[in-house]
Amino acid sequence: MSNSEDSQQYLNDMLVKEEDEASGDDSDKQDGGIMLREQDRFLPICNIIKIMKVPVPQNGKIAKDARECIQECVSEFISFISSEAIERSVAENRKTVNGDDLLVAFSNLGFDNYVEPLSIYLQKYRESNKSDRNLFLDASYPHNEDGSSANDAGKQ
Amino acid sequence: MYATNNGGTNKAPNSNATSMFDNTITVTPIKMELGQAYAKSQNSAAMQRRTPNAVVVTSSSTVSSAQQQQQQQGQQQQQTVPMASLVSNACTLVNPSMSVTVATTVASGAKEKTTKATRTQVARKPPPTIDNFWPNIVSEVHSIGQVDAKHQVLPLARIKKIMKLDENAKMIAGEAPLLFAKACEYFIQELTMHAWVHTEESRRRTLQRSDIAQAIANYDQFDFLIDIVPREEIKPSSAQKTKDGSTSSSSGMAGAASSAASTSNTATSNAAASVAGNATATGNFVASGSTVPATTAGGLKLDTTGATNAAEVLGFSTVNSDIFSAQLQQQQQQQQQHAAQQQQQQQQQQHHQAHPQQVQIIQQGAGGQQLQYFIALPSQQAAQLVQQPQPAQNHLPINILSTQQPTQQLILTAGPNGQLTATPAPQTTAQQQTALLQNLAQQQQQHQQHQQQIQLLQQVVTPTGELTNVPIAINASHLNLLQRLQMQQQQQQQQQQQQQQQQQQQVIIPTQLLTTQQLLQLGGAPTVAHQQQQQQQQHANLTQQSNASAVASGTPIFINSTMTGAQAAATQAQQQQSAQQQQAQTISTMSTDRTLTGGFR
Repeated sequence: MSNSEDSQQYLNDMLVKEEDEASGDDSDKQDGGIMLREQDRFLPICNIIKIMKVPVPQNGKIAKDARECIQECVSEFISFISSEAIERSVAENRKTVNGDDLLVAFSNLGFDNYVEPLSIYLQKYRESNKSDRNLFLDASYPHNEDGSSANDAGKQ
Repeated sequence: MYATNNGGTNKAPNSNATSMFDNTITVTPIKMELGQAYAKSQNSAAMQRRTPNAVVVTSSSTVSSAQQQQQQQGQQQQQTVPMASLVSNACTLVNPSMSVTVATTVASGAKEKTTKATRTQVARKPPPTIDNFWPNIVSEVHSIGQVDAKHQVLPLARIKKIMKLDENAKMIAGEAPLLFAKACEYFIQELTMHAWVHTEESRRRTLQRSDIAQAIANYDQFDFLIDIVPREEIKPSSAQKTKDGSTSSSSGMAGAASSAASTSNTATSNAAASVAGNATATGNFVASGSTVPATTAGGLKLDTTGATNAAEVLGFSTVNSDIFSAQLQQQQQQQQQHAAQQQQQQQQQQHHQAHPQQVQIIQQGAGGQQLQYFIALPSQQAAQLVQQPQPAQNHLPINILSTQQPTQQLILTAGPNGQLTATPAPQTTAQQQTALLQNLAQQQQQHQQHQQQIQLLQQVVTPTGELTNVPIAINASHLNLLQRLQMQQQQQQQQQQQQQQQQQQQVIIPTQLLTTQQLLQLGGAPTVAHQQQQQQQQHANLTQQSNASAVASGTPIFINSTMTGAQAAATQAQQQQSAQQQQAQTISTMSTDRTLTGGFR
């Protein structure tokens, strides 16, 4: 196996590892099948309050029970949509739930007005992800003027 | 030089993804190192450097060398920059013509005194409404340059944990929690916005759990949250206060259908009062001295004129809270209604001045949620029932029975389907009581017909050989048919039994005259044995009939089994016994005939 192929595989592994870290796979490994704690079943309350303050005027306040209620509702919302998306992926004999499954689940469950902005958002995320990968690969392979890589020149 | 940042705290340097409603624009000084060539040049060209999060603005006017020296000495120059050039492309402008005064400094060397960051607070953009929420979301998403996965408002790992609570979730792509983070952001904003509408309705400034519960109940998209926020928590919104001498405008919020009555001229002797009824759970009926078209929640208008000056407030509860839904009225329709009502009031004042009337509402409970309202009008003329124009969605069917008769009392009755029926009330109290009892009996019969269902279980043999009970739902009509069939079968069985008993009596009575010797000569058994045999035969016949009826009515069960030798012998013995019984019966009948004729004597 040549050096270029080794480095290519190493870079791919690094990319996959970075994606897993971004999506939070390490935290799942820590659970190890144990039941989640009460606070782990809900999203952080401070982040939810930040978002709740957007539609409320400046002089408006939010009661504590309302915050907790929204916290429960958001977790239920995630479970509700994800269960539909997981069913779709299982029906198509796929093990991984992707963004398209979620968009179809939003549409099927009556959240049609979520589909348009989220599909645009997903498209932009994929574009930026592609460009990041290309930049990473270009930076890792310094090319010569004739277009051949440094490893190829070393072999010759 | 100065740059603007639209208040983002934890944003990536390469992303201009801002929150949709960031309204604070901070103006911070940026120190620029100027080269010698730029310092020597007399004319400074206009230079703008645009970064994803900031816009650097420099003066575009030509500056003299003396002014440049003054700037290098550290003096500040006041400069008015239009607001549009200070705002990054991710933020929308409230008023583009606004201008912000900023101080510009040019740094020369390391001895430069840096000024403090002057933060100019721009008036905050008003919170989004339900109408423009999703268009703003779409425009915000379009304006996003790059999506940074590592800097999100909600933690992706926690979202993934919640997704992993599902047992079937094996692997989750990296884009799924990212998409959920954005969706949850929109969901929280939307739910909070719907809840805040109810907070404003109840004239509070604190969003409570009951507001969220009401938003969930009123919006179909949130039906999956009913288990989390049960309907018991929904509080009825408080009734709006009535204001005399002014028109009450409907708030237009979901859940409160406030109907406003227009005011009449104060120059006339009758002063007018406006009526605002709240149609959620409780309503206020205000009868003032002048003509008041009192609109109830269902849409019935009672146009009456009163001679009293003081307003009488009669509180009554609605029949069903689900019947009366919210009615949103536009301003144009309100103006048209006001004009039409003013004309009606003037006509009614001229028409009814000779016959003043008073409205009296008597509430009588009729069991459950059904209430009857007696509307007593002491004068000679009957109340005019006017159907209010309603939208097609909130149409309430109202059956008005015999309104042409000049009766003085009307009974409003709510049926099981939510229908209001207005019927003329009888004059005497005894007739009223009988009418009430009749209505109650009819309603109970209707409820019984709707609710009476009996389940029967039928045994069915499955292909695997198991017995399963299949429930069969039977209505009252089917039940009556079955009862009739059972009665007919019982009558038939009784008739058959009576016929058999008559035959037995014909056979048994003469045999008592015979002696045992004669019976022995005839080859028959004694009378007691003979009676026992006949009883056994009757019992066998009855069991055969019952078995046959059971087989005919139920599902027959066939069991394939091989007979052993002992079982075969037993069956043969039974057959022989039955044959002997038949022979004995024929002999006994012959003997009775001979005794009657007297042939043996």
